[in-house]
Amino acid sequence: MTEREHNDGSFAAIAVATVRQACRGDRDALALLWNTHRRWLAVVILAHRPGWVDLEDLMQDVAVKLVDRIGELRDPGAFRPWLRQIAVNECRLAARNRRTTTPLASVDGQAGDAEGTRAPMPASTHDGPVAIIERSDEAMRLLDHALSLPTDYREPLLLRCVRGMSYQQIGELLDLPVTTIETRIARARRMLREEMQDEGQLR
Amino acid sequence: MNQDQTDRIITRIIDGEATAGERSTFAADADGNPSMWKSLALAQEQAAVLARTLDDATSTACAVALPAPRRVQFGAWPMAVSGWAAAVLIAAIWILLPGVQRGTHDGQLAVLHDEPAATLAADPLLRAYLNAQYVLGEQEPLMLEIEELRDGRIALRMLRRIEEVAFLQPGDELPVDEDGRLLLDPHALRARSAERSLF
Repeated sequence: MTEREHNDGSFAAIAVATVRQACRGDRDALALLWNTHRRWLAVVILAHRPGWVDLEDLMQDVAVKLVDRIGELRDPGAFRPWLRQIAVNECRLAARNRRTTTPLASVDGQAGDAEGTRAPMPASTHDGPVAIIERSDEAMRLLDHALSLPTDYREPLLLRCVRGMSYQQIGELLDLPVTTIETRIARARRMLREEMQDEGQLR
Repeated sequence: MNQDQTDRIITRIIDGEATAGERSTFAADADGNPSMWKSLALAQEQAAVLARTLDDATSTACAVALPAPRRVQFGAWPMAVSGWAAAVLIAAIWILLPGVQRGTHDGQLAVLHDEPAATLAADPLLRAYLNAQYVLGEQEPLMLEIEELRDGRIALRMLRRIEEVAFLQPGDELPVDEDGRLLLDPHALRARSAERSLF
């Protein structure tokens, strides 16, 4: 079942029924939810994570929170925004923990900030030498620029890259009108285009 | 069409959200201003590259599986062990009660026979129980939780699993439901078997 199908008529009803089953402790239903939603969830974490924290670690933390707290979800229809909020909170928590334990990091400019400058995207740990060579520098620079956009523009733009996520679904997830989503994605793309053009002219 | 409107319609075209009317309007305007076609082409390419790169960047994270529940709920714990605990308790009571069927058991019980019940520790009682004829053995304990206590000690909570056997006479009704669960507790089952001199 694709993301788009989940949002259509009877599929939405099936999705809500699955959430209800998961809330009642059905492990298979919970696993199905995780498999269905983890792609956009990874993107939300990527958009919000502090640059020094591994994406995989945060994803694992969110998975643990989901298992622990699914029984607390009151409105099964609001599963996606609820799950997104868990992810955003985990990212904020990771940022706070870093500030608490090693306050010098934010002073000496070695690390990025959750809301501000970000560390470059690290190479995925699963990448072999061939994959690393094949991945073009330009593509990585494009992603780095996208991750440097203001959060309000970054998140909808990246969510749109998740296969099948419509403006409507992104709007529901972020609790924003569709027109706002559309405007932010359009502006984010223009900013990206201009950044890449400026960079091209400098090189 | 101003810059914002152009950006917006380009975005809608790329994302497949533009209506036929919007596409026609864009085409008509772009024919008079070819830089719009260039903007569309660049935006399309960038969107495709970004989607692919994002896919790569998140693929490992997307392979993260849901963890198993971290701890057994407090309420579930007594339920989980009650069957085995009951078996041990029944065995202990059986041994401690004077004059109850002691002659039917093996040498281990003879060792315990002369000790005052009050001085018997749980472990010797459990060993005696494990030596009963109907006990086949103990399976490897199942770890439930490792927890650091406030005083620095580490608490290991484990489920001990003891395997028993009971025998039925030919023609006896099978005390097992459709899901394979016992309908009689092991003690009652053994008592019924004992009545028929199986033990």
